[in-house]
Amino acid sequence: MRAFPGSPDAPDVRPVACRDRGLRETGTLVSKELTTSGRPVAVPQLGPEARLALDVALGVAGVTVGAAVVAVRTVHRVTAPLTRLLWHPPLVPTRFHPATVVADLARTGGADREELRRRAEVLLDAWVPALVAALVERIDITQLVEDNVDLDQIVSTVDLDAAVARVDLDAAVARVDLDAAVARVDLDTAVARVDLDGVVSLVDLDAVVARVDIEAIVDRIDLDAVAAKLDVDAVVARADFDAVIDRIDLDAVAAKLDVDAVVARADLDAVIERIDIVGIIGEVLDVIDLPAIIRDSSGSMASETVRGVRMTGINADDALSRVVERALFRRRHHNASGAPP
Amino acid sequence: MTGSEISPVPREARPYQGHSAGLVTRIVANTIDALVVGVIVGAIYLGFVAFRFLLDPRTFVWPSGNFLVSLTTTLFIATGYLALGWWLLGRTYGDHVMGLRVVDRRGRRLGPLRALLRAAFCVFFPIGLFWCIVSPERRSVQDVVLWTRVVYDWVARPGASQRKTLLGEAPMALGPAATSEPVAEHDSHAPTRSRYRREDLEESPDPSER
Repeated sequence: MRAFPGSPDAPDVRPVACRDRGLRETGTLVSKELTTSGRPVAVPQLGPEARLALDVALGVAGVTVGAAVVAVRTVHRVTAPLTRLLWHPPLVPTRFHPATVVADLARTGGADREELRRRAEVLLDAWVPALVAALVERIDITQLVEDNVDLDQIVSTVDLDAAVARVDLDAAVARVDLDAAVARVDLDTAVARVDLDGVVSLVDLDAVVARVDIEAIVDRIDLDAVAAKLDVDAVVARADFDAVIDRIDLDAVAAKLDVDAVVARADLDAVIERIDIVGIIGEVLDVIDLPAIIRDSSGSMASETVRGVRMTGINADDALSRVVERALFRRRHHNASGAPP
Repeated sequence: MTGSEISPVPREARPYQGHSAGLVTRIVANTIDALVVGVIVGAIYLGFVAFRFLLDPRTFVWPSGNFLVSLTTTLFIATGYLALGWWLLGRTYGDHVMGLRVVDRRGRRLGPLRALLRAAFCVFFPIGLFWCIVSPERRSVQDVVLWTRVVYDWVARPGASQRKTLLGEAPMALGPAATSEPVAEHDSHAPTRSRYRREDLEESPDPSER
């Protein structure tokens, strides 16, 4: 492989300059070295003697060439009339002049050459593909390239940024059938190989969520359909209501509650029908002692004094009855124990 | 009286409602009635004196009291006062103060005849009251003879069920011997502090049968 002139890897390789200086062998050597090794090779350094010999040789060559040019011009100038006489002899018709004949031959030869070239192209067009195909069948080009071509070296010299800048990515993407491409992808396998934990750990979820238009998403969701498919019983069975209630600020909820609206929707009649109002009132009156309140407020005969007198009378009645009964019981008991009636 | 109704009787007195009254309460009630009768007699006497004074002020002299006439008058006034009270109201003023009511054996208010007989009996034979000491049913001689009872009843005005109807008196709900209506419910629930239970009264109205 030949190194690219001007590339940073081969700054000193200048085969053209070598040819200008007559160092054809040196250039060939360098070229061979580059071709076989694939690596840039430094120009061999010449010793002073060799350089002197080289200069002498160049000087001799220059003089020789100059002398040859002068000789040729002189000979041409001298032989020009004779040559002109030979190409265009007098007294001979122009069509028989050697120059004319040669020109005709040359023209005919040119036409033949053109015809040959055309036929050769036809033959090449017919044979070259077949030959190349036959060759390619017998040659593993990929292996050949891999063995002989330093792809890394090539790629390193390519200005990929400039190449990408010239690519019309929009147009390229527009031509891609993404649906078909996605349809061919085995997403399950792909997902199985993805380290989702690692991916998620790299994502700034806060920023993502902040950019999400949740209201728009909720507007597009058919909540009725979702709720219809929901097994509410199972959800409720798994819910830890105690924990939920602990986290709820019931005071705040109650503060926001429109009690009037709630009461307006309640079937109070049905509620009242289920309440034993009479029994409740009876219990309440038992507790508050309504008769005492009425007596205190009315100031009727049944005042505290009269009540006390009455109760005193009742207690006295009981006490007297007990005394009498005890006395009678003793007497009866005495009679029953053997005394004569 | 059902449990859902409201009783004006104080809680501590409810267990005694409808039970026969004892001697002490009845004596106090009779004493009050005697004072009332005395006031009535005095008022009548003063009215009579004033009437005579107005007829002839110049020849007016304070009438000298005739004890027999005064006693007889007082006894008859007392009889009338008691009879009217027991017949029309079921109680006199003394009974009202002491929370008593006079009823027949079925718990109803007395009729005029029985009220009058009982009043006369009580006025002219007051000692019969003391039989209620030894009577297991706390019945005086008058009660035994006339088949009446004196019961605790702190309800000032009986309800409509106890008011008199065209066909006769409705039985008193509080009366222990009432058959058409149950006795007040608190009687059956509250602890009975008196040994004179309603069952005793119903078993044998006449103590002589015991």
